[in-house]
Formats: sequence, C-alpha cells, structure tokens
Amino acid sequence: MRWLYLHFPSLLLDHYAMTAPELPLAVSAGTPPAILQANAIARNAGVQPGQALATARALRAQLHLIPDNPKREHVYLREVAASIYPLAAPVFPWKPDGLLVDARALKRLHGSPWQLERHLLEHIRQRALQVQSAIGETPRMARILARWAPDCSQQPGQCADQILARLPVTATDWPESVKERLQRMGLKTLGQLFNYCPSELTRRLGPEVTRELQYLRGERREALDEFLPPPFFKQHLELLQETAHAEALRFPLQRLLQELESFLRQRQHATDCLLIRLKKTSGETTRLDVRLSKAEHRAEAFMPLVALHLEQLQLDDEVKAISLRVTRLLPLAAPATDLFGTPQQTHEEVAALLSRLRARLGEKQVHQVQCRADHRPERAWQRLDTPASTSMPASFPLRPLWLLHHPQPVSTAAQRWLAGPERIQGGWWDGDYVRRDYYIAELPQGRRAWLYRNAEGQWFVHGWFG
Amino acid sequence: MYMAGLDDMTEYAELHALSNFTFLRGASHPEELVEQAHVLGYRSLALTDECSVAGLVRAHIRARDLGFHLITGSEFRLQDLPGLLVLLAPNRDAYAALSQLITRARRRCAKGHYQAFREDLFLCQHHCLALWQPGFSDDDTNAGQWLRSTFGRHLWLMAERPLAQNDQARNQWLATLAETLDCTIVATGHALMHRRERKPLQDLLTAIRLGTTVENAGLALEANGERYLRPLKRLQKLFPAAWLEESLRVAQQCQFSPAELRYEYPAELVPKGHTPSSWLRTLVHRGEKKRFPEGTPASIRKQLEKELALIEELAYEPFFLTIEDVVAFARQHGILCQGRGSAANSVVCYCLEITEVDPRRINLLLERFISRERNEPPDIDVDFEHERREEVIQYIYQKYGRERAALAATVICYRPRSALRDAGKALGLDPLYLEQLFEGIDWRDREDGWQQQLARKGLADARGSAGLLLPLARELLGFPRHLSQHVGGFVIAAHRIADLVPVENAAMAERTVIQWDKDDLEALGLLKVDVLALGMLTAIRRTLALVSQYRGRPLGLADIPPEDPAVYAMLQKGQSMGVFQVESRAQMSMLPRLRPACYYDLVVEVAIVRPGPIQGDMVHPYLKRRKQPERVHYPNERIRAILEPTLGVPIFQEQVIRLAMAAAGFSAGEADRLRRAMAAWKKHGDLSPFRQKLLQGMRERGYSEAFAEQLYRQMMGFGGYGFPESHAASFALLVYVSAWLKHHEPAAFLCGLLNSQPMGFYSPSQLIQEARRQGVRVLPVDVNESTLEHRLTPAKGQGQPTVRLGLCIIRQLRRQAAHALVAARPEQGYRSIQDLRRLAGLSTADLEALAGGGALRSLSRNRYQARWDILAHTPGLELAGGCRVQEDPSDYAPDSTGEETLPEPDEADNLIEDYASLGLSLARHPMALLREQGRLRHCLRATELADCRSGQPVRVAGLVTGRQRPGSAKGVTFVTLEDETGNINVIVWTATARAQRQPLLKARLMHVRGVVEQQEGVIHVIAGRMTELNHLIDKLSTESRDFR
Repeated sequence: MRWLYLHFPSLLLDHYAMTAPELPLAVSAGTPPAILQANAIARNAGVQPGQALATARALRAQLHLIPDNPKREHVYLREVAASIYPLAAPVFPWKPDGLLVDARALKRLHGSPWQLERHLLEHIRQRALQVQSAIGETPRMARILARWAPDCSQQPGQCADQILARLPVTATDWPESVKERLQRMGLKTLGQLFNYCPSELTRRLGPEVTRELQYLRGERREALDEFLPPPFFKQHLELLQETAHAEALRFPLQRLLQELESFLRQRQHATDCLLIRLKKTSGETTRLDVRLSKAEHRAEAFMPLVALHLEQLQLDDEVKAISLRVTRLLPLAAPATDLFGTPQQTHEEVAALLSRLRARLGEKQVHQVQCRADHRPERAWQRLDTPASTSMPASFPLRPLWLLHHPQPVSTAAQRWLAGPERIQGGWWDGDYVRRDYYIAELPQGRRAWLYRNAEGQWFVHGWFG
Repeated sequence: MYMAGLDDMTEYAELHALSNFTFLRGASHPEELVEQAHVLGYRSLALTDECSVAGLVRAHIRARDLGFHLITGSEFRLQDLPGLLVLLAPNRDAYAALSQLITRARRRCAKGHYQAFREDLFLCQHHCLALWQPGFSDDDTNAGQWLRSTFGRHLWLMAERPLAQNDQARNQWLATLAETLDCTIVATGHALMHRRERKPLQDLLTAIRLGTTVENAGLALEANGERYLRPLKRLQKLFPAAWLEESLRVAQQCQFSPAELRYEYPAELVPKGHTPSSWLRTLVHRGEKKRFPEGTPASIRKQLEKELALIEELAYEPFFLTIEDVVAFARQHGILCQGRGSAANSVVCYCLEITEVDPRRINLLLERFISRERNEPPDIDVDFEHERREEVIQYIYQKYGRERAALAATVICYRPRSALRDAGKALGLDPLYLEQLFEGIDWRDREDGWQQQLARKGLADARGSAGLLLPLARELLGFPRHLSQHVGGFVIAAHRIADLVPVENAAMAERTVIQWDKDDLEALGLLKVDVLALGMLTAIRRTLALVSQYRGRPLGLADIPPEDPAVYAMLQKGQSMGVFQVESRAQMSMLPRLRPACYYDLVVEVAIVRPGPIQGDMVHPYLKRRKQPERVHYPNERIRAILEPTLGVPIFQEQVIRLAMAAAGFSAGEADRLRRAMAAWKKHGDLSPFRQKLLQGMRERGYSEAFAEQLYRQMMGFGGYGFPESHAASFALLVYVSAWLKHHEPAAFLCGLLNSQPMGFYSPSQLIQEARRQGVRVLPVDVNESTLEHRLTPAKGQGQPTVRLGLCIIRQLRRQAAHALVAARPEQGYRSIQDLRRLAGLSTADLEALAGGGALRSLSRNRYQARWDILAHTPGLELAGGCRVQEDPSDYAPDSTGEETLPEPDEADNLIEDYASLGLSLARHPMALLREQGRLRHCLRATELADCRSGQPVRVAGLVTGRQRPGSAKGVTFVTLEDETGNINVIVWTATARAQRQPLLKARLMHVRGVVEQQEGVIHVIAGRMTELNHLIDKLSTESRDFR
C-alpha cells in the first residue's frame, strides 16, 4: 500500500463556513443556476446537489448562495497542499479537489500508511475541512476509493480489489459517454468489467477504458505533478457576511494569523512584516502594513499589533474579504546583514520609509493621485494607497489645478466673467448628488477663480487657476 | 394652452427630439414628449429617433388628440460624414424618401443596427430638410460644402445649448461655418427626455447600452440633465432670437402627417372587367351555392346583403379578397386552415370558406362584424397547420414580392423581471442577489403585485443602490427594448412597402419586419393579414388522412356529423386528453361540471376557463344558473339580448363592450377605449374615469346601484383577460372535430397527434397511455416494421387499426438515418445488424440509438447484446455522419464476435432504457412493477378512486408528471400523479405545501395520504401527508412539468 489520497468534497463551502459555521450554505453554478454543493445545515433542510435555485430556496429560505469559482477552489486546494507539505512532501495536487501523498516515502517519518493517514486527517480536520481519504496500491486506486468508498480503507485487512469490484462504473474518470454506454450494455460495476478481455473493451469503448484499468492495476504509471510550495505565505479569506466593524475582523484575522504561525513554525521561519488587505464591497482595498521591531513567528505576538491597527482603522465601507501576505521570511535565528544591501533591500527601505511616513503623519496622509471618469470635480480624481501607473481621459474640460478640498463661499463680486455656465449634475447613484453651474471668473485681485452656484443659488469658489 | 406670463414673442419648435424608440438612449415615451411640448407651448415637435420611425404613430395619435403639430423626422450618424444629421419630412414624398433611406440603412445590417453613407442621401436630397450638427473639426468645411451642394437651401446648422463648457466656442464655430457655407443656424434641443427628472433613468439606459454600471459609465453619461424639453423662457435666455425664430420657419415647411398614409391594396386579385366590389360579390355568390345548396335562408340572405353593403361602403373588399386568396391557396394545397376573429364569423367569410363556423349556429351581429364608427380595419386571423404555415408565408412572399410584403413588428418592452434585471445590473447589484430577489415572486399575482412582494423581501428599505432599484425599474417598465417579428401579421402593399413604413431585418434570416406593430397599423387604419400557426390543425389533417386511407374513402372536415351526443357524453366525463383547447387539467375538471351538450356550450367552455372569467368570479354564477336557467332575470330586454346566451353572466369580451354601450350609453368608440383601458389596466391604467361614466350612465338609464356596481366589478375582474366570442366560436369547432375523432377514431387520432408533436399539453407517453386505456393497440418501434412516422396497420375485420410507433420516437436517431433505413429496407426485412450498416449505411451511433430504443428486437437477443455487437465494429473506417469510406470485412463477420455474452436486462432495466431512449414505454408501467413488488401496500389505483365517497381517507402513489401553481388559484398547488391506470389529481393547500415543502418539491414518485373529494364527477385527492419515494424509481427518467 503505497498511496494516500485525500478528497475534499466541499472546499469552497468549508472555506466560507470558516467565518460563519452556523449558516446554511450552498454553492451554485450553471445557467440556469443549480445547486452544486450544500453544507450539512442546508442538506438537512432538503437542499441537494442538482436542484434548481428556486427549489432550494423554497426548501430553505435563508440559504446563502456562493457562486462556483473553480479558480478560487484551486487556490484553496493549493493552500491545503501547502499546509500539509511539511508533514507529507511530496504532495501531488489532483484538480480540482484532491491531494495525493506518497506514503512509502514517508514511512520513516510516520510509520505505516494508516498512521500517516491518521496524522494528516487530524491536521486537516483542525482546519475544519471536510475530507475523505483512502489508501491504495496505485494512485488511481487510492483516488477512486477515497471518493467512493472512503470508510473501507480504515481496516488494514480489507481487500481493496473486492471493494473496487463492487464500485459502479460511474466512479471512474471516464468520459460521461463511455460510462453511459457501459451502463446501457448492462455493465454496471467495475467487477463486471474485469471479466472482459481488455482488447474487446478497447475495441468497443476506446482506449480510455483500458488505460484507466491499467492505472488502477498499476500496469501504467500516472503522470503526477509535484506540488512546490510558494516561497511566501499568502492566504485569502472571503467573509460570508460583510462587516463594517473593525472589531468584527478580529476573529477571521486571528484564524489567518494561526495559519501563518503554523506555516512559519513548519519552516522554521519568522517575519517582521505582515501585509493585510481588506477588500471592500465598493471594490476598493484597504492595506495595512504591520511592521514589527523584531522578527516573530507566533500568532500571539502578531495579534496585539494587528489589533492596534484595527483600532485605528476607519472603515467607511463593508469588508468582504481579507488576505494576509508575508513575503519576508527570515530564519528563526538572527539575520546577518550584507555590506551593500540588495535591490530587494532598497525596495524594503522605500517601503519602510513609506511606513514610517505613514506612522508619523498618519495612515491617511500619504497618497498617490489618479484621474477618475466622473463629471463631478471632487470625484474626478482619486487617491491611491499603492503606487500604480495612471492615465488621463482623452478629452476633459478645462479644470483648475488647485481644487479646494472644501468649496468656500464667495465673498466678493466677480470682476469679469470669462466662461460659463457649465452645468454639472450627477451622483444620484451614490448618495452624493450635485447640481452646480460653474463659471470661470476674475476676482478683484486679478485671481482667476472657478466659481459655482448651487441649486439654491449660493456661490462658492471651488478652485483657483492661479 | 400657453403658460401664463409668457412673452408672446417667444415661440419655438423643437426639431430634434428622441424618444425611447431610440432604444436605450431616449428616456421618454413618444406620447410624453408630445404632451410636454404641448404643455410648454411649443409650436411643434419633431420626433427624430435614430434611423427609425417606430415611435411615430404613438406620437401622432397623441398629437392628433391634442391638436398639436408633430413633425416626422429621423436622426442619422453617417459613416462618412462628421457630426449628426437630422432629416425632416415636409410632405408625403419626403416621408417616402425618408422611409426608404431608413430601410436601406437598416437592411444592410444585422437586426438593431444601421449603416448609412453619403451616397444614400440621394434618396432624400430633393425632398427632405436637413439639419446638421458638424463634428467641430477641420473636416467640417468640406463636409458642409458637400451637404450644401446636396441639399441646397434645405440645409440648416443645428445649434445646441447643453450647458457644457464649450457651448460658446461651438456656437461661434457654427456661426463661422454658417457664413462660409451661406446657410442658416437653427436652435435645437437634442432632447432625450421630456422632463429633466428623467435624468437618472437616462443615465441608467446609457449604462445598460454600454453594458456597464452607472458608476463606471463615467464620462459616457450626460454631464447634466439639460437634454429635456426646456421651458420657452429658458430657451429665450439661451439662444439668440433669430435662431429660435428659424425653428418656426423650418417647422412651418413640414406639413406631412401620418394620417395621410393610405393603404393601397394589391390590385392583382381582381380580374379584368371586374371592380373589387363586383368580384367579391361574384366569389361570395359562388360560395353561397356551395354552402347553402338548398337555398340560402332568408335571414342569412339579409345578413349577407348587409355585410356586403358595409364592406362596399368602407371599401374593405380587397382585404377580404386578399384573405380569400391565401385561404384558397391553402385549400388547393391541402393545408387545413380556419379563420377567426370578429370579421371572420360572418356570412361573407362562411361563403368565402374562410371559416367553417355556420352562421346558422351562432348569432352574428352586424356591429361586431365591422364597426363603421370605430374606423378600424376588420379583424380576421387565419390559423394554418403549424408544420405547413411556412408554405403559406412563402406563397405570400412569392406572390407579392419582398418589396411589397413584410411582417408587422412586435415591440418587445421591458417587463417587471427584465426591467429589474437590467436596472439592477446597471446599478451594480450582484446578479446572484437579483436572482435571489426574484425567487418566489409570483409575477402574475394581480392582488399582491410584484412590487409589494419585492418590498416585503426588504427591497423597499434596502440601502444604497438596491434602494434605487424599485423606483427606476418601475420607470423602465414598458419601455420598448427592441423590435421583434409579429407571429404572423403580414402587411401587403400595392407598390413598395418601404414607401409606407421602413423595413428592417428580423433576427431570423430572410425575414424582414416593418417598424410598426399591430396597434400602430390599426391606429392608422392599415390592414394586416394574420397568418398564424396551429398545431391542432396539423393533427386533424393527419388524422383525417389516416382515416381516409384505412377506411378507403375520403373523410373531410365537412363529413364529420355535427352534434353527436356520444362525443358530448365523452367530454362530459372529462375525457379530453388530446382534444383541442379543453385538455388542460383545469378544463378537464370544468367539463363534468359544465356538461357541454351542444356546440354553443363548447364556445362557452373555451372562453370560461381563462384568467378573466375566473378572477372576475363569473364561473360559479354561470354554473349555478345552468342548473336553473329559468330563474335568471334580466333588468330589461336590451340586457337580455346581450346576456341571455350566457345566462346573464358576461363571459365574452364582446359582451362587456356591448353592455357598456347598451346599459351605460357608451358610444362604440368609447366602449372600445374601455376595452383597451381594461387590457392595459395592470400596466399603467386608470379606470376611474370610466367607472364614473359607467356608473353614471347606468344610473341615468334607471339601473339599480347594486346592478351597476356588480357589473363594474365584473368588468374590473375581467381585466384584459376576457376571451372574445368570435375566437371561441372558431375554436369550439376544432374542439368538436378533435373530440369526434378521439371518440370515433381513437387509433387514427393518437397517430395524428403523435405525428404532430410537439403540441398540446401532454407528452407522447401520456397520450399513448390514455389511448391504450381506450383500447387502442400500440406496437413497439421495430426496424423491420416501423416507418419514419407513426403509422396505422389495418385490423382484421371491422375493429380499430393498430398504431405502430415510428422511428422518429427514438431520441438519438438522426432523421437522415431513419430515412435511409426505411428507403433501403429489403422486402423480407433486415436480417442482421450488419445488414443495417451495409444496406442503409447506418453509423455506430445510429445503431446504438436503435438498440436503445429496442428497435432491433427482431435482430438481436436483447438490447445489451445488440449494443455490444454494434460497438465491436472497428471504428475509424467511418467518416462522421455515418458515411462509409470503404467496404469493411467485419461487415460480413458474424454478429457476435467474441464469446462474451452480456447480462440479460430485466424488466426494470428495459423500462429504464425505454424511458431513456423513447421517453415512454409500452411495457408495464413502473407503478405496476412497484405494486407487484409489494412496495405500494394500501395504495389505491387512479381508477379505484371513482368508487370512493367524498371525504374518504385514502393513500395513493404515482409518478409526478405535473406540479402547477396557477396565478388564479391563490397559492394552491396542483400535483398530477400518474399510475398504471391513469392520472390522480392532488390538491395541496397552501399551509400543507408550506409545511411539507421537501416532498412536494422533490418527489418524482410521490406517496400521498389524503382525503377524496368528489363533486359532479370531478375527483381530487386533498393532500394530507406527502412522502417522496424517489429511491424506488431512482433510475427511471420521467419528466415533470415544474412550476417556476
């Protein structure tokens, strides 16, 4: 028995359930959308894969739906792979929802395959993931057993071949058309197939059938891609219920920090620099750079600092996802400094400067400016937290370079009207509705002002042309 | 109506205004623009939708009612000309030219798009007035000079004041350009909305058009809301007086009105030496001899003369001649057809063989025939066999040419769901959120409107964008979205149709539609010929042909004896599966209660099971009065004349109109407006002015308050859902014919229905089960017996023939392969699978399909073995599609190649295969199987329910074949269960449904404990406890019609 296969039937759901374990959840996909997976609470209400959304919602009104996202699922699979990697390398991800582990290579570390299985399951269940596992002579056998007969491999004595023979042909990775043909010839179990001459099967059903049987029996080698762990830590957490309270972010952040701790611990690393991104419903991202005075690896060392940042945080919008990224991995021992430094270091220094500036002037005082397509002048530009390349709209009306942050009431009469009115109206959709008539005028001291009159007839200066 | 205090010197005509028929740009209905221009005291308004006149008629009608001057025009962006060009039509010729230009620009592009070039303007250069907004670039002088030489003095430059920063600069540029070109500047508004309050909606439309959200649309949105119809006072401030005055000079030149458009009938239908009138008379008299061989009864004769006189007076002869010509074509080619509609049920149409409704069997009313007062074209729809309607359409195209015949448009408008979806997307709401919002909304519920339902889901007090959704979607509702083709309304012109109305491409290849819909045509008094498709006519024609064939003598519609009591007796038992119009579950349970016994009862039956009469509470009173007709009282003779046929309860749409006329003194025109208002009531209607007039009119005529109120309530309930008697009368004929065939020729009728699928309410499986219960023998599909279609094999002696299922029932079998199989079949039949490959050239996939369908039963031991043997054929020697490249030695090899023998399929396996391949099985019903296995203890069969008394507790079980929650049934769910003996109707009350959602929604095989309800021969089971038994049939595929 050489291979251990781990099957994760509900990666997406488990991920969301991390932050909301008590809600009925389901993943939906397709047009018209149908249920793909449902968690236990939803299943208890009768929600089942394959149901139309309408049916599912009729069964459980409060059902939370998550759109299927294979890309995300793959990310999560890699996260799981990264987390078991230190225990069980080499790991082979099997898209979209499986991991294969070479048990023989780990014999010295874990003892028997069943012991390995126990260790891994323990580790995975700590992460509140649903998992099915099985051990098999070949990767394919382990996979099929894990997916279709996960409980059978718990007893070492059981003969895997017998279990295999009882499995339906639909358990295989063959194309749907082949499975259907087999069933429509009355060949419903793998055991039935074993009785037929492979060449007769190939002749009728194409080479896939025989190939898979060969994989199963180990007569042909699987091409396996080994998982290479990323050289940094990155985890992403989607919040099921958006929140605008910084306090409410503590719990999910705590989780992420624990993940980080186990990551660092396994690799004997530490870090002095965490990057937390809060993705908001508006699509904007708030970035928290948490810098420690000395490298650390324990969640409890990170948490107070993170909490401090949270306290200072002014959330104007709801947060829907959090990510934690750590790229600066230092050995647990003290570092030695290079004499000249490296570009990596220079970049670090800029970042450190920015961080210091922010610390000194305040988080909100350091920005980059970018144009935005909006008729409202105060919305026609925006601050960026992170440097990015910017572009100007092709044609834009004349605007003053100095736009006042708060328009000021006009006290003196204009000497000369140079242009206007230009009526600007908009923003009904974001609660910041404006309707103004703009003029360019010369004020007594010869200054050119950008004036406007609002709908109530009051006059304001909104900018200076110099 | 001028605004008070206005400087009388200022006057203005808006020459550039776009309605919402410039889809997703204009944000006001054409009517709103006209009304607002009128209120503001504009002298005129030009409706200039982009390359379209689709909104013209609506604007015209409102302008006509208000006495306002409307100008016809259109806006274009030319491919090779900078800026924007507006063309106005000063007269009829110019209109024709404009219409041709639009046609040309639209026809060269796919649906919804256009492309125009400078060279196209030759069509308009001598007729239209051109207003140009240049591109404000260096090309302007050149382009301007070209326009100036093309349009001469008929060119103006359009000045605008959208209050942008560059207004002055642009208008200065215009002034210079005007000097260079020696032409005049005119003030225009480029209005996109009638009031500036529409700005949010206009922004929303822009976002929808660009496929983005309002927030991300950025500078694509208008910078402000100035593109509306501005008050004269403001215009006076914005424009030099000369430019405003110029607008009046331009407007004055535009004297064209759509009212001038006259339909010119195709002339070729009248032979030389005849006038349309004399020719129509000739044809009618010919038909009269055929229809009344014993001589026309005097009353009919009198009616006929009146009808002919009216036709002559209104000059509608060519319309009747056109329809007669189409119907004659169909008759010559053996295509069954039947006319319906108010004008169709007339002696003239009976004589012209447009309808089979015998005027002696219903009361014809002259005022229903054609209304002199309403000035509306006569209404005749002709239904043709659905499979052969295309032949009729091709005949029309061929006879009149594509230049002269085109389909009317259907304006597809935003409905609640689409309005919410598009508005939601544009507001940046998550599509999944929207889907969740829509779930469970009953869009048809009239008592509890969708807006309230959504509000209850929390939409009313939603924050942010979601809070804007409902008000914006409400405004968007009813906005036109695109033009689609009408189901069959043809407009045929004497000359070129594009002179009358622009023609554009439909989504379907080779189809063109005009830019007006049926209401527009009706409003202008233009005629259309409705060529519709009806599946039942196909089934009837096929059945008649089958009967004629096996009986050896022709059977036509006319040979079916009328008023056969045996046919009515069958219908009274609710045995109507397959019968036209009365086969739905609701109709089936109405039949035993209404107990139709004559033709007119069928007319009522067709009309009564409709949302109108049901929601207007007419059903129960009518049924009650049928039991005691002598107890019906009428306030007076006039009311009696109207309501007596339906025992004092208004059931037909016509009765409502006539009641309004007779009881409340409405004129025919007013009554018709009432009908329209009722139809549109749900949308935006306000019936209160009618209520006032109706109640007052009835009071004045001495009717009691109670009677008046009751009548008004009935009319309200009726809404737009009343069914016209004139249509019901034609449908009832087909009801009778199909019922007669079902009763007397069940085998042929089944065969005819099966060969006309898809049609009707029931699946082939249900139709076959019903026929077998009636005693029809049905034989399985077999490569050596079946033809492509289902066929009859004569019985020995006098009995009913047998139905042999055709190859077409096998789902996976290509039609081409089935054809080849039949064509190549040797006289003694195929002897092996290799025969099929070799002789018919069937591919492996075809053979697998045959094996799955059990069609190889005469060649192979069983299906499993057949498939195994078929697949042994070495692939790679065939091309896709089953073409053989070369002879393959294995073709001649023995059937079974190896020693392997496959397992024998058992009864359940076969059943599963049957359902998977055919969707039906002739073997034992799955329920019979389960019963035999003892899994359905204590469950009664469908037939056994008849012996139960009302109130008796029972257990039943069956496959769920239907789950309906009709809007008119107030939350009740109807579940239909099928077992081996028939259907069981289960009623689930709202509370039960709510408490037992899981089994109700999930069961494919359902077990029900409940109580029998038996009333007037209608049997229901009221569900108490439902259990799903899906595991018992998990692999049987039955289709269930789910409610959604």
